[in-house]
Amino acid sequence: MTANRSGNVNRIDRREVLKRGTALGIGAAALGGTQLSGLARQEEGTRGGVLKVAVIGEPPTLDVHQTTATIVGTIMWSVFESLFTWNENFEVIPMLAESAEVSDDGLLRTIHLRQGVSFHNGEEMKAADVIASFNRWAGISGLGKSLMASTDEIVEVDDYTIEFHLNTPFGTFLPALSHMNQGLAIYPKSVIDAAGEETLTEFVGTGPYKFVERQADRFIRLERFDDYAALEGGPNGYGGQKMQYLDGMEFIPVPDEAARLAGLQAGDYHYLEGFTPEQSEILEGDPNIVLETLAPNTWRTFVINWRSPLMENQTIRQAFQAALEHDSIMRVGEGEGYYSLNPGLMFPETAWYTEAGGDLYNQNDPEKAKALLEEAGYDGTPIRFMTTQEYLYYYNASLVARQQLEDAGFVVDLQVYDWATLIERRGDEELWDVVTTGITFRPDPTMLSIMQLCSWPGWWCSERSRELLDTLLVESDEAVRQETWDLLQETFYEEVPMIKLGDAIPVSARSSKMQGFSLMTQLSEMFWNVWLDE
Amino acid sequence: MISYVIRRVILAIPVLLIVGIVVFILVHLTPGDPAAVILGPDATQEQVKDLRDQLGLNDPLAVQFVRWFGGVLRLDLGDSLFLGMSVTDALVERLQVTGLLSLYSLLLSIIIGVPLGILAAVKANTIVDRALMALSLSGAAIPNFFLGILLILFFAVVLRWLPSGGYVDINEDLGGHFRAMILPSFALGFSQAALLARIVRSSMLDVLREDYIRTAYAKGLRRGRVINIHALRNVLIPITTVIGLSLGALLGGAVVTETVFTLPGMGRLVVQSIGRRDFPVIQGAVMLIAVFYVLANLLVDILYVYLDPRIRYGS
Repeated sequence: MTANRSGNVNRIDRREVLKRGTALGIGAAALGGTQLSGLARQEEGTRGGVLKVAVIGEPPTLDVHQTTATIVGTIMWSVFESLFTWNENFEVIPMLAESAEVSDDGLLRTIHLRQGVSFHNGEEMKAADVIASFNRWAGISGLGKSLMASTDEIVEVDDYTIEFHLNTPFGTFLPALSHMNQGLAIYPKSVIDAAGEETLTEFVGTGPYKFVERQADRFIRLERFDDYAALEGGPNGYGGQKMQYLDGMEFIPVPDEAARLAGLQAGDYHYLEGFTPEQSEILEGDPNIVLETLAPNTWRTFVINWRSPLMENQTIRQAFQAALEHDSIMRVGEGEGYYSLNPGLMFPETAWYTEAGGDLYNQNDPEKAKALLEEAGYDGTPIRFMTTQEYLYYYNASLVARQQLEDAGFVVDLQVYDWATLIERRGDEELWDVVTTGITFRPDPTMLSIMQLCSWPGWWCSERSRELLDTLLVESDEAVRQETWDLLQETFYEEVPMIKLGDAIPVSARSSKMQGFSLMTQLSEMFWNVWLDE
Repeated sequence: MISYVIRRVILAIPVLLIVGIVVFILVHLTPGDPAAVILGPDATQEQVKDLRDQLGLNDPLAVQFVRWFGGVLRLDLGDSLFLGMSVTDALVERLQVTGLLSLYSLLLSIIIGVPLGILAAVKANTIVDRALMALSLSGAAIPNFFLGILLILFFAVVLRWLPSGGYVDINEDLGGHFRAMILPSFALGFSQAALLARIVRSSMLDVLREDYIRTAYAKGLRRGRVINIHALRNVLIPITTVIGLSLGALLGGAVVTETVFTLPGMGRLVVQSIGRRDFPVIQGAVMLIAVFYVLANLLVDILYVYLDPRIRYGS
């Protein structure tokens, strides 16, 4: 069975691999540590113990289909699994699927499921569960909706075979069905049917840990799933064998930062989710704590409202872009040493990284900005610039940017809201010109939130960008896709739908007892391979 | 007396109705959208609208109010948008934590504050009095979150005697429960103890100057008896008032203390629900707190009768 599976992996690799050899150099260098820790982990863990993770707050839901909030994935991807997932190089590999095939015209996709995979409620995972999960997910997630629009029919051939009849070749079909925030987690059909139109109240998956109990603001408790259908051959990125060393995991909401740090130092928690890198100084030198730099998974941005009367003027947007000096913005926002500057909309750790259009990145040219403003006939209308103090880095970055913009002749009306208000206002095109936010890691450029052209708040919607995105979506020739992506990034810098400021570099803070932790955390942390040295 | 209590309870109904209307309007007029919070930062407007429809948030406010208040009358506060449970269950669960935390803090503040206040009054204007009052001044001045963090650093991080936070249910593990509650109760109770000590001292000084105290001494009673029986009884009225008021302060302080010590109490529930716009929970919690205040005030008024026979209500 293993040999058969690896054969299928190769087949997927040939057709679907997202990365090309050229860029592996960058990725491998940056992720070298990850791969080493991945290999060193094999078969040496001790079984037992409960991992205690301090999370920044109560998750908004435990339903992975429902939200892009990272915290939900951090907790629940130990409970749920997807059809496909990512290996250490962010290439697609099967997880609950056994293999996949595509017809020559790209319109028929066949997925074969693994047999004998059991849900936590004892049912066996079958095609009907996958189809029910897909339908539910496709009604909520943006990516799911666009995949659904390209699908004419889904056929349950037998219990372990599903056919997707598409109306356009969907180049990113397998990545779209892979592990990610708001990804297609497979739930039992019975659970989905029981929930109906209501929110999900049972959390049943196929993953290595099962959901046991949630006491709001106290803990969320997971327990090892003894009937887990494990793959063989050791862990491989987000997939492969899941080691299940821990008896269980507890996720404890600890919103107060000082309390989180003290709890880690006191040995009450093993890991801090959402650790602020600048706090490293407090923990440095403590022999019981390990601090490690992770690969970046968010870039900070000022999103510009494409539909606001002021900012729909491309020359004004270009003036905005020219006025900014990113180094001081990121330094004040993130702290010295915890950011990197590069023009790539896809991170340097992926094969997609490109510097196309980069001469317009981080210009620091107030004179050019002034000239552009004059050319555009800017009349001193204040820019309504929304930010939040709930994430201090956005607020701090906005303060520096305001100064730079005013030096270049802009009038800035900085509006500070709490997060819930900010994201509500962001949805109304009448209310703002610029807003701070972050764009999170995606293995494929079509999955970036900003690629929901014309609908994601900011509403970037040019003919050129839509054409390029369409090519990127349907094309399956990797060389053509990379070329298209280069052009799309160039268009981004010319049309200025937003400003990419820089990458935030995260740091993990954990107890030295916690072993086997993979530094590959771009999509979510992997706790299923962790063990505790007592 | 009984008719007085009944009248007070009936008078509480319009108070609660007004509280209900005000909190509903405030909560719904505040900008911020729970659907957007649930869906996460990458959501599009279409997704937000769909979820709002599903949650019933797109109905007219009046419809939503009638639906909610109709439920309240049947003692049904609705379901939380985030917690996957009914508001009543969520509140009952939290009330235990906040109730016990407030109780322990109150007991601590009485055990520390009252004797020290008496001691300071008896030793008025000596070095003991000055030292105690300096201590109580600093106690009242130190914010309880800061005291909390200092306590955590010393007892949890340096000495590792007590947990840095978290809650242990009293029915699961009694010892663990008290270990978990010592630091937060002290952090919360200390400033109340300081305040109480100052009130007890000044009230006691007033009483000690009264004629009947001199009489008591003149008829040969021992000093301990004069202070503990004759004087203290008359100090009880201002003390009771302060303790009644401090219940409110304890609830307010509990918000901060619960956050620092990661206790799943009412205060933290309310603050987090406001942050994520969990409308039913905010409304339910405010209603409950209003009921609580009304009852606390009533209780204090009734206690007066027993503490001071001169006080009579009604006919």
